[in-house]
Amino acid sequence: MSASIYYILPELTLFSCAILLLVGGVLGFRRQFLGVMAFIFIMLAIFILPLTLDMGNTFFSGMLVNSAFSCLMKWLILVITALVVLISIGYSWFESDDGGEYYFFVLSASVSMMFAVSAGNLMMLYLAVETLSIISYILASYLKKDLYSTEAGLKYFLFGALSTGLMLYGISLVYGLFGTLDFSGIGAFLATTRIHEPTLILTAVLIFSGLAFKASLVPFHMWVADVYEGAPWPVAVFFAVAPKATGFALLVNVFFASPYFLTSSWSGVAVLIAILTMTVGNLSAFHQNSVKRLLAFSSVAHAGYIFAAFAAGLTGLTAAFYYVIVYAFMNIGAFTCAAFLSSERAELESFKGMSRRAPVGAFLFSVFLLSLAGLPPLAGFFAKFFVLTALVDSGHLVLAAFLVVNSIVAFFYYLKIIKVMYFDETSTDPKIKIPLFVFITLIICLLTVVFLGAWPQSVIETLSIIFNF
Amino acid sequence: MPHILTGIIFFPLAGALAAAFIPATQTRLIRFIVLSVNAAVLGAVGALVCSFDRITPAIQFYERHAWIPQAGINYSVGVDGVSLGMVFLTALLGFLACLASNGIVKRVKEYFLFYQILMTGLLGTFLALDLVVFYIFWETVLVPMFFLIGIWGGPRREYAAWKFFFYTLAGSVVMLLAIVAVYFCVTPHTFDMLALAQAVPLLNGQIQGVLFLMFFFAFAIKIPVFPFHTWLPDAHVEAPTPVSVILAGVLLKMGTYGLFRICLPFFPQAMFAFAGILGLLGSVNLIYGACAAFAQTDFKKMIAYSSVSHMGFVLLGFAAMNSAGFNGSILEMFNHGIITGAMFLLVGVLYDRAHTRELSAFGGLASIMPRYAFFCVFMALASFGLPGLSGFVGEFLSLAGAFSTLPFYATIASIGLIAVVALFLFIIRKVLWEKPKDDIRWPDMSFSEIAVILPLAVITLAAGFYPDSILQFQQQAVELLMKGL
Repeated sequence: MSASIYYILPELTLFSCAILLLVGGVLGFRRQFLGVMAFIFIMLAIFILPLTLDMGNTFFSGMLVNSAFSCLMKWLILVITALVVLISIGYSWFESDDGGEYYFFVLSASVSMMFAVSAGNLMMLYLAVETLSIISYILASYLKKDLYSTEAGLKYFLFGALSTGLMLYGISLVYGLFGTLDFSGIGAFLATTRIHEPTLILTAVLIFSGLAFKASLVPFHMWVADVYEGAPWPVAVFFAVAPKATGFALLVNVFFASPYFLTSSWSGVAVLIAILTMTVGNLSAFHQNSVKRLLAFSSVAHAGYIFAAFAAGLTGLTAAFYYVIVYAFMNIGAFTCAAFLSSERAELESFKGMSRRAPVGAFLFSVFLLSLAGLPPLAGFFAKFFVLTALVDSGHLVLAAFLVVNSIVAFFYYLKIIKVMYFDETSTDPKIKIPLFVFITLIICLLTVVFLGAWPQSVIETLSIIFNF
Repeated sequence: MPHILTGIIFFPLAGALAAAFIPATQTRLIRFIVLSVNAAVLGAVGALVCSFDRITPAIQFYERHAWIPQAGINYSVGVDGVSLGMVFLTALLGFLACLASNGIVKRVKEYFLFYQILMTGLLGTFLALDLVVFYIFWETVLVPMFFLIGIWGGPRREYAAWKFFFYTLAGSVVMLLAIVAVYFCVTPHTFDMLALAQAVPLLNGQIQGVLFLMFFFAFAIKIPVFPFHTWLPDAHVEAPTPVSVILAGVLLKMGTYGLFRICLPFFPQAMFAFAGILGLLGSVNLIYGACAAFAQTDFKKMIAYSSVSHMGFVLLGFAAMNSAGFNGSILEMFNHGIITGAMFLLVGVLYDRAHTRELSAFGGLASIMPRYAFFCVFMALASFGLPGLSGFVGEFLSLAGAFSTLPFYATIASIGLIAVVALFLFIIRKVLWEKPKDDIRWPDMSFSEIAVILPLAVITLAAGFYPDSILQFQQQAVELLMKGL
């Protein structure tokens, strides 16, 4: 038991920090100070995390499972949280009195995601995901006086409640079928006993819906644009990357790690969902006038590209998670640029003449958008390229063709934003200054996007070791 | 000179990085830095040409480093007889167009940043010997060009920029699919162009045919081959003069270079099957380009369409599938770059003075601007292939090659040649002779304008009188290509 406590040291660090921040907020410390404190604790957790890698396999009687993959995902979640906290420090639109609460929620969400990716038991997984969801509803409606934000919270709640409800139903079926919720127990049972196939598929579909909601796959994507649009920018940044990465990690843990529910029909369904997700995301992004909504739909499309690699089976996972990592950095970059160059709604017109008003900001935004579009030699290109290679390798030529056509369509709307920033000129608008903490975030994202493009080997090598199950 | 090619490719980019940290108001310093970087690249390419071994067909100055071993991607670059001419052309026109960029006064810093990225993309495309690296450089060209046309172009610049971008993007993503497909078709899987040139020809004919068509689609848009040519007149006309020079002089050659570097060595069986169709497309290009040029009233658009026509020669020589045709085709690529580059510069000279390109606005310039008239006549004669100037050699060899294998299309093409001649004579008459307009008081070409065009004129003359000065560099490479058939 004591070893188990050591294993969750990063989570404990983060959560104790969250409590401290809550108290600090009540005591009236300044928002900036609390933000910096949160950042320092996250960095601490990032440094503690590697120590947990060699601690053993199962903790808390199988509730948590240690693996290189979960360690990597926790690392990614922590890095994302750190960047989001940096952005939040520079974000001035919150009501002034509740800084402590805000960081408390962000850190708690981060902790729940870390538990989710290392869960070894479906009940544990459900609890972690549900905690994340409830925190997310609050965060989405954080601008209390803003109608959009309130709507976002309510909408997120309604869709979220439905999908986690479905997942819970699926989990109860699992318990009925197998008599256990432990991943290893289910795996052992499946290996020895034949299960009634339709029931198994139903179970898989129900659990899949809950996770697909987090990963925003079509048809569980309806909430995305409205929630992102209404949520305050830093929260939208957070939603666009962290829960999505978690969703994909959970898909791996539940469906791949020891193929529990991986029935023969998986591939066909996955291809269909991937095609729908990328196409619907792209076509919806096409006509958006709000850059926030546009980026929201583009993130749905990216979920489709990532999920396409899942369709390729085990061999696609390296490509998928290279994509997830790259996507996290370029999307944080793009969202942050849009947030600080424009207003809460971010209409396309407000970006006019941006190359003059904020030359560095416009440049960074363009780089992130081009990376999202998949322009070589940026990291976003290799992300798509590896997925494409995995698809052709596994013979999914139709899906590969859809990926390629979709990436042309995507180029159009990303380039539309760049066009407005660089081609259209305004004469009067004032210069825009980007706060220091935000600028640091952007530079980190830029360096990562360029580095992962120039040297993708660094991540690919690690990933291919991890996924060598 | 172990890393000279890498240096040549990335030095323009380094120049861009250096210029990025200079305040945008220091335009003269930025111009100076960019110009000296391009001069240095030209110097390095000159050294490359001097030390190039003309006796061996092998790839020279070869560099290869593992880049992404998990995916089988290596950074490999090298130069042979086919690419040497293109690299020299890029460096030369890159330098001269940079000189000619003095007219750019709007957002100078951004202009040169995009320009330098463009140069890196172009040089990299011609030097890359790994398909993925090739593709990366190929795509790198797109975005700077989009900006260069879209920000500094003429009145319809946005439309032209979008059109250029999406035509070429459509082509290149199909190429990406083809690249991935080629990778998985051969064992062991590789992106190495040299290894692929050995392995891909062994595949069965049907696969070769499909892959060939995918690659050809990408190249055909870039060349451009009728009916994918419609982006060209818009892009060329709207682009500012120096960018038009790069577009016509270098960018189009990416397509034809791709034919020689990828289509021919990889898919010889498919090439034999499609040679007739390529010949047809070549002669259609030739005649259609010339006829469409005739219908224009805009000087620049006429030159743009004449490019379509000239690329027809390149395609025809390529389709001939014999050594005369290949030689003519590669030579014509080089010559067209020099001559059409100069033609666009000459159009620019007039546009700077008249602020219009309508032919009806000009007339009788021979008496007002004698120096201009000299260069204009000289280049127009070279363009339609007057013997003694460089255009003739390439066109003649292409036609001669085509006569032996595709006599029908060669005949049509030679008849079409009359249209090209008529076109340029028509332009000369309209612009230089006829009765001078009363209100024309334009100064003749300035020293700096002559300085830009003179090197091109000298090369045109030298290559016309002594074609072997260029042919000797490509001879061995062509023989190697013939051996592969």
